[in-house]
Amino acid sequence: MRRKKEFLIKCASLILAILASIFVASIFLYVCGLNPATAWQVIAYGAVGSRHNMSESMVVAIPLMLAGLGVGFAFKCGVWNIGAEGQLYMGAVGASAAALYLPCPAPWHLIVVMLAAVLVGGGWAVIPGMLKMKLKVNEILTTLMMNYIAIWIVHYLVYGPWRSLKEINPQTAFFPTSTWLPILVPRSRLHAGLLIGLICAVFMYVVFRYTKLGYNIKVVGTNPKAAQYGGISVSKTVIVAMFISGGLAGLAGMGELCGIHHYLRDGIYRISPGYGYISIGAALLGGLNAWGIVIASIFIGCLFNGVSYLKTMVGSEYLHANAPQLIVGVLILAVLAKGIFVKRLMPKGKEN
Amino acid sequence: MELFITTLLAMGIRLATALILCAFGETFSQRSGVLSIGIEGYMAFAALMGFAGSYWTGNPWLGALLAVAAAGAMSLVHGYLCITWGFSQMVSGIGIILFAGGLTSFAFGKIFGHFSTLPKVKFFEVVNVPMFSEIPMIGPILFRHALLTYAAFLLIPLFYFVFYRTKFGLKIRAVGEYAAGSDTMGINVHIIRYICTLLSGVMSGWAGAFLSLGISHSFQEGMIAGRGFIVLAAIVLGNWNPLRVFGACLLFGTVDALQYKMQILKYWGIPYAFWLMLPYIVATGTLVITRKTRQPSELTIPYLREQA
Amino acid sequence: MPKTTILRVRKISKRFPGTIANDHIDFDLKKGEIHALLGENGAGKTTLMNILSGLLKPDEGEIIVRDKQVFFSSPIDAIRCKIGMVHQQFMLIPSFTVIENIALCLTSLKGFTAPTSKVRDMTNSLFQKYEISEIDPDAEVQQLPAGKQQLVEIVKMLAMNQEILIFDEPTSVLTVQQTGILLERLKKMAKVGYSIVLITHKLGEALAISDRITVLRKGRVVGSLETRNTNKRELARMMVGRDLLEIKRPPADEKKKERKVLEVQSLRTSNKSRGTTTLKDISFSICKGEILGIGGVQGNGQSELFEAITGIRKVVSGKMMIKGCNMTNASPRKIIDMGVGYIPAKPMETGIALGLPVAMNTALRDFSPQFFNWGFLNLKNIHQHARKIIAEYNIQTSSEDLPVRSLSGGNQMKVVVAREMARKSELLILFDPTAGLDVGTIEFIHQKILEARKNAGVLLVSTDLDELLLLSDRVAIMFRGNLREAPRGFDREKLGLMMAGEIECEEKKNS
Repeated sequence: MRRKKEFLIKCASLILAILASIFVASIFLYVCGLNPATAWQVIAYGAVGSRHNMSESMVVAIPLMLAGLGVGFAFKCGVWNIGAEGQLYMGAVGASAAALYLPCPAPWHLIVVMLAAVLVGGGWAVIPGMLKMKLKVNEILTTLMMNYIAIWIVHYLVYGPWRSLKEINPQTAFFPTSTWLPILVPRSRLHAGLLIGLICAVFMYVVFRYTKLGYNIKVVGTNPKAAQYGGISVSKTVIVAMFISGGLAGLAGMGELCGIHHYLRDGIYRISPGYGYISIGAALLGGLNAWGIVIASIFIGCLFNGVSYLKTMVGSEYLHANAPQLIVGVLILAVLAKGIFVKRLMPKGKEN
Repeated sequence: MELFITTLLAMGIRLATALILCAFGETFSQRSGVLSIGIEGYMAFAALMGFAGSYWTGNPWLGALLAVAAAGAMSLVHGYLCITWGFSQMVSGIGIILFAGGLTSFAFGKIFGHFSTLPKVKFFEVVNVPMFSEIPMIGPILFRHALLTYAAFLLIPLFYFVFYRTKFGLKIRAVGEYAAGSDTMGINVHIIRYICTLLSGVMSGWAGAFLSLGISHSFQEGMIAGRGFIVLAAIVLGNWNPLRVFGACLLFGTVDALQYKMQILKYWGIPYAFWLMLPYIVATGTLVITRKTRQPSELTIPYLREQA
Repeated sequence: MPKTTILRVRKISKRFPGTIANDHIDFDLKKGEIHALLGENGAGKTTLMNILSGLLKPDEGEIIVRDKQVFFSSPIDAIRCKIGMVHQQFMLIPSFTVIENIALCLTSLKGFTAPTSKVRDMTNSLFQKYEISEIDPDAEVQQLPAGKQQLVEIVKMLAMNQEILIFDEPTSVLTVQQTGILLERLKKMAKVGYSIVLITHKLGEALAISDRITVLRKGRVVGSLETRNTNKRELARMMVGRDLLEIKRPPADEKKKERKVLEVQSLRTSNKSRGTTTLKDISFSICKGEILGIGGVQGNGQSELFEAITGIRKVVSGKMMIKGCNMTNASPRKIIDMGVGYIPAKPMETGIALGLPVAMNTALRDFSPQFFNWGFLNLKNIHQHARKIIAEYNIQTSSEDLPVRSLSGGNQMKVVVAREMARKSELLILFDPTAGLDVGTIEFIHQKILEARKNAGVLLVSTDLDELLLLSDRVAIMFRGNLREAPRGFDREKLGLMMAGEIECEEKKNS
């Protein structure tokens, strides 16, 4: 009975928070000279109004989902992995390397590419994890720093050794079709990355509910000292969690490359407009559990796409390029606001 | 070669100024127990506001004041969530970075979107210290800077003094080490933390304004480029001690300057990207090498009284 | 001369979610008296005193100081009314020096800047006045032993000119001798005009020095008496509501003493980390069927010893054998697999994961296939086990799926104890298992420990000398990282001297 009540309150708070963020966002829209009511209608249409729009929203949701699941693993383990962006980039690097330089026959090539993305992304995350465990270096700083390093590595590769001389824009050669993720919905950009994302969500659910590893991660995340006394190796658990975290973010990067662009590029057309950071928002909004993250990423994807659509409709004199980011930022703060609602409304009491 | 070193160090000091200003505030905040990873966001928005303010009023100092007010306001939000409500300072900080990033882009587009090239605004002029700036080598390095840079340097002894020689500093350190104990001694933990958090926002405001008005004389999205995080690294490297933090900021500022110069000169055929990575690699490296740092015991731990 | 009432509290009530900590309490304090507030853990004494010192606001009731009603919205208001409190856990800033701590208190009252010579002079004169000679004003508080820290707390109150002094369980960190000295000091201070409230759960102390005793039970005042009119039995009955159980320890079974379950030889740890005590040449052994009690004042190495035996702390030299196998520096996991159960100190901090459900916590430290099979959790078994334990140990919770955090402190502790005892380990290690618990739970746990003794060797580390004497077959005392076993027949007095380092026993070589 009480658990049901707690669950309802959490949902109600989430809805309240979303409403609050819609309100704040409306203020911004108004400041831009737009009528919030019509603006929201356009956004809604842009998000889910047509088949094309819906698929585009899902396209945005895919990397958020994958990276968000990864962030969820790390946060649940008590590690503040802010490095999803960098891990995404490095995953993309791994995927590109495998795509361009490890040719294989058809179905295997894609698998190799995926493996490469996971390995490189995961490895990139393991470094801060090990630094934290062995040398007690703060992981927030290391993961952040490594984001920037990763971005510049990609820049170097794309402008340097991997640059394809055939194209005018700085980019690598096109990936062979053996690495292309199949499109799920014909005449759209929605690619099989969505399936990968959903499979990963199932993976996360199973791990945390049914496996010792998930159990260990949860104990380490809640109370590392208790974990230690409990015979759990905190070091090993953290490193495994970080590897999975980075690996999933790496898959997000791979998804963008093999599902949409089919080459690695940089410059103005970066592969990620901050998906790594936004996925942290998705993870938090989703309450760090698998299905919550899936729903949150789809929601943010819709919002993002809807606002982009609004932007194309009204022209950039009204709405600047990064409006979607702003909306998402408001959403994050709403996550925190949700916490306030929860605290206020929660039935208090200890079992005596 | 001599010229290279001179300009390098001068530039290093210039770049370090922003770091020092920001670190000043954030060290106070962290010593009292509040971590603001949002300083990256504060600086971004402040850089824009400073630039815009100078554009509107024609006076860089007024622009800076606007920047300071904006950053201060954001820091109060962080403070409210984390101090009064006790929310996770990490989550709040991340939220602020995302929000501030989006807000900055948005406001930039709103204010300057219709310009094809950015207007020239009044910026912080370099003020040569009479006589001293003529000294060979040292002169150009130390005595040809904007007023804010001199101010930043003068802040260091002030900071040290407040911290270790006044009762306010004593209270801050107490709150950061043992909030419950300080409470029983009659110290208002929340007020002290609010003041320090606001200080962090205000100084980040100055830092951001200096970046746009004092260094690049322009505004560009993403110009903060992780400097807020570098400040955090500097504070850890400096073991939360004002003098050491200052030294760390100088170090990072110099590396930043090195990175700029090398990009242009293309020395030794090392690709452009590696120079850009350098500040982050150095920051990470120094964090790895430094052992024996001890953070304030109450850092990131909220203090709420009804806990019995 | 009749004493005037300096502090009165009327119908004070304080509710917390799920419990009533203080239920319409009436209490008064006369000037110059020592008034003991007696009650078992959880009776509400500390809550009442936290209200008086300004940390908590009462839901109902009045506080009247010197015949004027006052309202405390924060500690500074209480400080201004000259009420000072020495908390159970010291409220000094550990990394500050003595002078800095005193200066800090003064900052809230007057216009002092950071430690100046004024503060130093004041401190020195206070030290002189109260015959305190052993404290270096420039020493860092965290380097001082508990007894000296307590003195600093007292000087702090004097420096702030407090007149009403509240002491919350002050003797819990002191040796027998230090306790005597403290109580004498309190008597002297009362004679000079200070009004003292002594919060304690120890009947002996209350009877020894107080003028009046008020007994609290479950948040209510059970009675308020002149000390000279009452006795231990009556007080105990008032405190607990019934007569205390007499727990008798049956004599140890000599036959089982063949098998040594734990043997420690010349264990030594490094002294690199700050703030910990190094262990020097620790040797002892425990056989199946006996309880070895290790006592000593907090901070003399007990935690470090516990950590070394459980595999959390590395030892630099020496040997540790469990059931005959060399387990020196083995990982906690290996030690657990050898069949060792342990209940760590502060179990709420290190023994359970507060955010996880009870059922998940009962499976902690258990790697057996019934719960964990090929990396997967056997949820059915885990839940069944959890339900069984909850019933057997009478843990109050409506479901095993609730997060452990929602249980009361005593029940959280029961989860840890239940979990470990249910595993039928051959070596059971306990650290302060009954700290902070109510009498009923304490009796229960003591009984369980004696039960466990039948089939295991038990190492009981405790700062409660009475508990040690009650349960242990043999007693050893830790002092400054050294362990010395006390000869049979040593009583409280002599053990107290050992804890203060004033008797050096011959190191008993165990065969």
